[in-house]
Amino acid sequence: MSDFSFVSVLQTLVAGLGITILMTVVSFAAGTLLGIPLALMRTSKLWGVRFPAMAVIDISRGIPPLVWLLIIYYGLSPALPLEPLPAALIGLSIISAGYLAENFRAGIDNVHTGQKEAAAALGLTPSNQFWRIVAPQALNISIPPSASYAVALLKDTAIASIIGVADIIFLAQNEVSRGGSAVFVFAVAAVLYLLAGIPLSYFSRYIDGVVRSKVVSV
Amino acid sequence: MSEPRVLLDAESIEKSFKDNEVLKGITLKVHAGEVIALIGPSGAGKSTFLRCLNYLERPTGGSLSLDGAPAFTDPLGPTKAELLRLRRRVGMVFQSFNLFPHLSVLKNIVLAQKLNGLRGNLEAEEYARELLGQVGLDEKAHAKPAECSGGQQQRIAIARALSLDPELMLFDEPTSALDPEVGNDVLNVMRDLADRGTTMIVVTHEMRFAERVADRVLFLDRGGILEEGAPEQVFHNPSHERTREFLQAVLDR
Repeated sequence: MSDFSFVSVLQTLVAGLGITILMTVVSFAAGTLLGIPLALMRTSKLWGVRFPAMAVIDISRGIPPLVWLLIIYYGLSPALPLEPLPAALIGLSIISAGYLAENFRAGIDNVHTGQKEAAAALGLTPSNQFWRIVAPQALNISIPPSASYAVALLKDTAIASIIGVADIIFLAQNEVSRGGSAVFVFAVAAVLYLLAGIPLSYFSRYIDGVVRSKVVSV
Repeated sequence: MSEPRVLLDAESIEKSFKDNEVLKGITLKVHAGEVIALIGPSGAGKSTFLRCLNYLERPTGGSLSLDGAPAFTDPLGPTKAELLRLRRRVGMVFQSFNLFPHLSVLKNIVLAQKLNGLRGNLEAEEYARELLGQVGLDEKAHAKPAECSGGQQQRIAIARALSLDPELMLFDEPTSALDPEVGNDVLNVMRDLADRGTTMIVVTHEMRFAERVADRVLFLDRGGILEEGAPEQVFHNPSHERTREFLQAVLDR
C-alpha cells in the first residue's frame, strides 16, 4: 500500500528539485560563457565571423528543446553514448547559449552610438571603446531579459525527464505510475517549480529596477 | 604684432554619403586662440564639417593639418595611430553630452587621461577635480551622470574633453538640447574658456553668443561657406541675401 499523502509526495519530488536546479544553473552558466563570444561574433563587421554565429544562434533557438535533447541523447549515442544528465546539460546549454547570445547582442546594439563616438573622440582605442564603454553598458542592458530567461529555463528543464533525467517531473511520473493521482502529484510538482522560480523572478524584477535606475542614457 | 600661428588648416574638406554631397570642399584656417562660430540652416553641413575635423566622420576629400604638420599621410586612409593622435589633440563636446552613464562623474573625466597614458591615477583625479571646479561642479564628483541635470552634464562633458589638454575644442550645438536658462551656464563656461585663450570651433544657433564671443563667424549653406567675417560684419552687414534671410528668420523667432 503506497502512501500518497501531500508530505510523502512532496518528499519524493523534492529529491528531484536538486537536479532541476542543477540543470538550470549549469546550463545558464554554460550558456553565458558560450553566449558572450557568440554575441561578439554576431556583431562583427566581418561577414565570415558574423555568419557562423548567426547560424549557431538561429539553429540553437530554432529547434524545439525536446528535439535537441532527443537528438543528443539518442542520435549521438552510437558514436558518443551519454548518460541522460550530461545529454540534458549539453542540450540545455546549447539552447541557453543561443538565447543569451541574442540578449547580449541586443545589449550591444542598444548602447547609444553617441557613447562610442564620445569614446573615440577622447582618443580611446577601438578595443578600449568596446571593453570600457560599450560592453559594461551592454551587459547592464542584457541583465533583465537574461534574468527572465533564467526563469523560463528553470521550467524548460522539465523536458529532460523525457530522456530519463531524475528531475521533479521524472519522479512525479513515477509516482503517478505507482498509482498516485496525476492531478495531485503534478500539482505538488507545480508548487515546487513555483517555489524555485519565485526567488528568481523576484531577483529578475529587482535587477531590472537597479539597471533602469543606473543606465539612463540620453 | 606678428600673425598668430595657424593651428588648424582644413583644406577643401569634402564629404559625400553615397550620391549625396554634403560638404563641397570647405577650407578653413584657424589661428591659435581664435574662436570660430559656424552658423547656418540645418542640413547645411555644419555638424558634418565639425565631425570631419576629428575624423568621427571620414572626409571623402581634402586634408587636415594641425600646427603645421599634416594629420595624415593619406587623408583618405588614416592609420589607427594617426587617428588616435589627432583625437587626443582635438576635444569634442556633443549636443547630447554623451557622458558615460556607468561611470561616476569623476571617472568620466579620469578615464581618457589614464587610458591615453597622459597622467597616473592620482594626478588624473586631481586634474579632474580641478576641471570640475573650473566648470563649477566640484560637488558632483561622485554622482552618476544620470543624477545631474542636462546643463550640469554638458559642463561635465566640457571638463572631460579638456582633460586631455586639447589644442583645439570642437563644440557641436552644445546648448541645443538644453533649455535657455541652463544653456546659459554652459555658454558661460565656454566664454570663460574663450577668455583663457582656448582655440574653439562652435556650431551653434546661439546668435548672441556667436556675436559676442566669436572672433570670426562662418555662414554655411548647402555644404559650403557662403560668407565669413567678423561677427559685426556677418550679423549686421551680410553681403549675401541668403545670409540676411537666415539671420532674419532666426532673429524673428
